Amino acid sequence: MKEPTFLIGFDKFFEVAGKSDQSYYIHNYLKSKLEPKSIFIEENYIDKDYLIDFSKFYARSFNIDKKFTTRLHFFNESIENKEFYEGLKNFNKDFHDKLKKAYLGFTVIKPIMDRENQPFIGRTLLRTWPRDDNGELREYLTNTFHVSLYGIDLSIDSLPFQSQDEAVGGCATTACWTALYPLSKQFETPKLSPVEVTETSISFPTLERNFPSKGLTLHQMKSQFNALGLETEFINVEKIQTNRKDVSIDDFIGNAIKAYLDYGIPIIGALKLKKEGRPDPEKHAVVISGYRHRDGKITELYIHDDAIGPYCKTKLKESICNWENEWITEKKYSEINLQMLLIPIYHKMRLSYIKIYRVFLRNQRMIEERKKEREMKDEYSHELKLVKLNDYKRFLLDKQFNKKKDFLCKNYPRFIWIHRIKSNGQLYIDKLYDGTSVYPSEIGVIDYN
Amino acid sequence: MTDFKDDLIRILTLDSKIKNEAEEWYREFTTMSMEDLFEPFTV
Repeated sequence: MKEPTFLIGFDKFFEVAGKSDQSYYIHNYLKSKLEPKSIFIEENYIDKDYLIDFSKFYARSFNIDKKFTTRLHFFNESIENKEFYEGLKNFNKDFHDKLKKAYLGFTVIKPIMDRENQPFIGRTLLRTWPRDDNGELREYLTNTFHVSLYGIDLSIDSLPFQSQDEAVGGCATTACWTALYPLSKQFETPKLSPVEVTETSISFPTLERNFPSKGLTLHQMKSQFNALGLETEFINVEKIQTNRKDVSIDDFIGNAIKAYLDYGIPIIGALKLKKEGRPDPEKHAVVISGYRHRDGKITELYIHDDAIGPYCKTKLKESICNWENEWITEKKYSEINLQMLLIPIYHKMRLSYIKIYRVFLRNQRMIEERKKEREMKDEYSHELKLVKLNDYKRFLLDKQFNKKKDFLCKNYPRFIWIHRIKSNGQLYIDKLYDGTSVYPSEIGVIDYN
Repeated sequence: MTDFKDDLIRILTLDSKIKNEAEEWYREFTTMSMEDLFEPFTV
């Protein structure tokens, strides 16, 4: 019997993925740094998110009757059909290991078309770009996902993406959908399909139709996270820029991005997009899913944007709030401005970022004043970190500091904010604050030797 | 050097002034305009 063709070369990508903006992005993302060579086509794949959306919405559409999707797996090795079937029939560990090593992730192709008559891109998990690049480091928000390809165990560290399907939800729905994955890993909250996200959000109603969804408001996004037992924190970025000229917006927002992403918490960015000839900016929501930095200073952001793609490289222009990516280079908008951050958090994380940042800033200023008084030339650098107690104690195990035994054996709150001070690049002092407290509250100091 | 470190640990304590400022910043930077609250994200 002739075996069906499942493996094709990456050069045939558009034949199977369509020609939507997002499929072009995925093609270019993979090509630019990950050297894709083969695509494995998994037909009749049951994608849970699409299946729920199908049962709740598409099943009652006149012209849509397909509930199965196609999943495309990408590999950075050339793999032949025959080789794959031999590897399946006769267990060959070397071949399985080769597949695991070469795996770059997958994208689901939905059996429904967008307004350009191109297939919608469903759940997509792609390998991140290499961490080191020219002396700078990329830090991504990822979780490990296990993938079974006909019994062969593969895995990928990534954050799910899918393109916007305005029938079941707008950009805010997709941003919430993406955010629910890392939140689920951190806090065991449920994951929802896009239809379910929109359904949960509209318990806070507006005058707009619920489905097809025109888009969610901030209240509706908050309502969706609250319904799952999570709290939300808002930071009005525009107001900081307008009201506090003496505060570095790059430092304020940069530290928020690093603190939450390093913890594993997604950040939803509310954007204003301006286009020549349009009087009012348009509002858009994305997930900030990574950053690139040199010695802690952010030089680039990565975002999950349902109109572009996953880990979309975003350059910073005048400040961390003024961006450049495909909205400007491809879609011909003139400005992208970050207006606000929405951070879904565990309900016991009560000490807000804004409050602890005020303390962090005061501490830095006091240290600079003391240095000046003493005419010292030592370099002190500062980090603001949010940590879980258990992770922090694990980090401290191989460090040397005063009263180590006392600290490790004592009870502390589950969440801790740390103002970490390094002297000439070496750990110097960690000043600890109770992350579960309503007001800033000190709980100790780690005095490194 | 040790003196300086001890000095830092001593001065970096919280007082009511900084706690009040933190509260003020929280109120200031979490308030939204009506437009921000009610306009949906539509792009």
